Amino acid sequence: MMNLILAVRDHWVHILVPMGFVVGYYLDKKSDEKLTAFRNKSMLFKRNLKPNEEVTWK
Amino acid sequence: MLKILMPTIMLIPLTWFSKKPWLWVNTTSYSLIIAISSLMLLYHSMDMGYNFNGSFSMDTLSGPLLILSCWLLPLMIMASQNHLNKESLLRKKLYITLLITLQLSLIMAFTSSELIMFYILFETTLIPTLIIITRWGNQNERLNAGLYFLFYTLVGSLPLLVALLNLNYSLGSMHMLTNFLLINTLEHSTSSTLMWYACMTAFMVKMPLYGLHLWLPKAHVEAPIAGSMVLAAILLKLGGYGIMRITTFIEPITIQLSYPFIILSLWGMIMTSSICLRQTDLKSLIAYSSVSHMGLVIVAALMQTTLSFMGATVLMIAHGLTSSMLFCLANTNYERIHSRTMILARGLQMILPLMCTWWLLASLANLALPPSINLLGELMVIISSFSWSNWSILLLGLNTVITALYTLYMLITSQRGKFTHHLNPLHPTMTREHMLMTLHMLPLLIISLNPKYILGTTF
Amino acid sequence: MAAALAVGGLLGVCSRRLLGAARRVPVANALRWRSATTGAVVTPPEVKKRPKAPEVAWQEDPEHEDVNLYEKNPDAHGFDDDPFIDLWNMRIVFFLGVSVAIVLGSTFVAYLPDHKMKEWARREAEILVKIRETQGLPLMESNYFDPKKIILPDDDE
Repeated sequence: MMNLILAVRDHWVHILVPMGFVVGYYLDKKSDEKLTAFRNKSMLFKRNLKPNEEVTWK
Repeated sequence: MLKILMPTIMLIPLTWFSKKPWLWVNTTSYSLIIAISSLMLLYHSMDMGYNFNGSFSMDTLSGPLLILSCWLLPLMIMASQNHLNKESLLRKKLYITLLITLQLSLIMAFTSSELIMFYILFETTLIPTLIIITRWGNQNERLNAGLYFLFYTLVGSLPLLVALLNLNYSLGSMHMLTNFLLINTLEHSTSSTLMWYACMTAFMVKMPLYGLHLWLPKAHVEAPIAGSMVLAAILLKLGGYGIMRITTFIEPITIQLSYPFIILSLWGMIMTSSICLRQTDLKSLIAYSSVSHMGLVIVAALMQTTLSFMGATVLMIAHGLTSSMLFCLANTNYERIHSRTMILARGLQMILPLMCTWWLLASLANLALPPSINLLGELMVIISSFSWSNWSILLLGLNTVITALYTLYMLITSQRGKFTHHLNPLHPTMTREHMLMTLHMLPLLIISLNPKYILGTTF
Repeated sequence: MAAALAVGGLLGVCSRRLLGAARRVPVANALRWRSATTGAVVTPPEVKKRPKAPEVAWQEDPEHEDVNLYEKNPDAHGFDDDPFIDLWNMRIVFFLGVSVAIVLGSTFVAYLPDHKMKEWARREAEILVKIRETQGLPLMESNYFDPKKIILPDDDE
């Protein structure tokens, strides 16, 4: 137990960059959701949806 | 996009909270991991760019440059390890933080989709570079070099700000990817001519164009190794990148107005190559060789053909890796001999044979030996400028010959001959240095097997 | 150090700092006192001997730069002074730099799907050309999109 706490205290910095990666991934997802507002709205690249298809991309 | 940016931001607390012995290990390994994960951005499924979110986007022109700047951070950290050995821990951390800040602003500059934001980040890269040059340079002349560096680039880019604000007013949007699709033309008038000059000057100074290049050798010579590396590898490419980006906004007058600039840069390439032939200072020689190679990129970027854009993009990546490697090699010499003068370090082939191999490979890449990616870029530029004007082949051919001459001159002066007696207490080459050279050389060789990923938007 | 300073005092090196240090050393003090009585006589030997001493010092240790790395760590890789950190830094850089970035990275890039769909476009074009040749149609039309499919918005919208 003590060893674990010591290891955490010594090596907690290693969590920083992976954490940044996870946060970045999450924020990327969120900003992609914002872009869904423009999905299939372009006049030039618009297409008709196939029968069992809800959106052109997710 | 934020997948790259957020970890890079987190590198700064990592630097400050790392324990003393693990400082270099942590920063090197995590920046390498970020560089590896940035490789994901190499792939493009379509001919158009990626729009990450409202303010960041990327296409095949900025993607390779972005990966290059991610790749360079671990290399810079590795290269400065010996140089900073005697500094205090606080200063080491500050130095690494500056490098990370520089990387951060470079990533954002290459991916920003708004030209105004690009301008802001373009200027932001000046500050960490200036601090690195003026604080960690080796001689007193570094202050002078810092002044040159700052004021050349600042004064050059002020007209750009005015022009951008004006363009923003008239176009309503400065989004780069949108403006590839929209067609707006400037009419032929004095004001649009002025606008063109204002847009170009900043990037011409940054590239640098012959005549506006005086800051570059000074900054290169005085900067510490990481500063030289990032200047040669990426900061100069901001200029070429900017030219290729902004010309879409100021069509169609580029065809007429670029004429004197192309000629000047063709002439300047020969001039700077000839200056290289009579250099005594190793770092200054490499800096002038960068000016000469960048002249080729300016020619290509102003020619505005598909082939020349491809050539310019390839040449930027190839030159980034090659010149950065040459500066690393010059630094290993400098750390042993404590002088940049070339004739003081003769005959190193006998003492450091493996380092001589790296010198040979880097020189061959610099003079564009056939299988290398440098040749591909140069050939594309030469072919497209030949079809632009047949006479330009004279200047370009002459420049290629002089490039080969001064590169061989550099190689022979440093590696061959009899070594001078004061070289006796040289300390041997380190795994770290060989590793540094390998990590420069291998990507260069691998890209030449499959260059389509760095051929840019027009491929 | 003290001996050097004593010699320095003996020689009467004109540097102020050395003189000041020499004053603290009794022997030098005594020598200096003696010399002070015959001030003019002492000066010649200092001029004679002075060039030798610094020359030796300069040659031996120019800037304190040449530390023998292998004395402390015979397998130095140039990363760190501490052998353990040095070794691990080397291992991590080799693993991440060569094994992962170069080897796996280039494998990743080599096996990426069709870049910009160039190969797909080529295949598709060849198929299209064949179809059009068999049907006797012109190989290419001037319209990229079918003009019937494009519905322009009304002008007043």
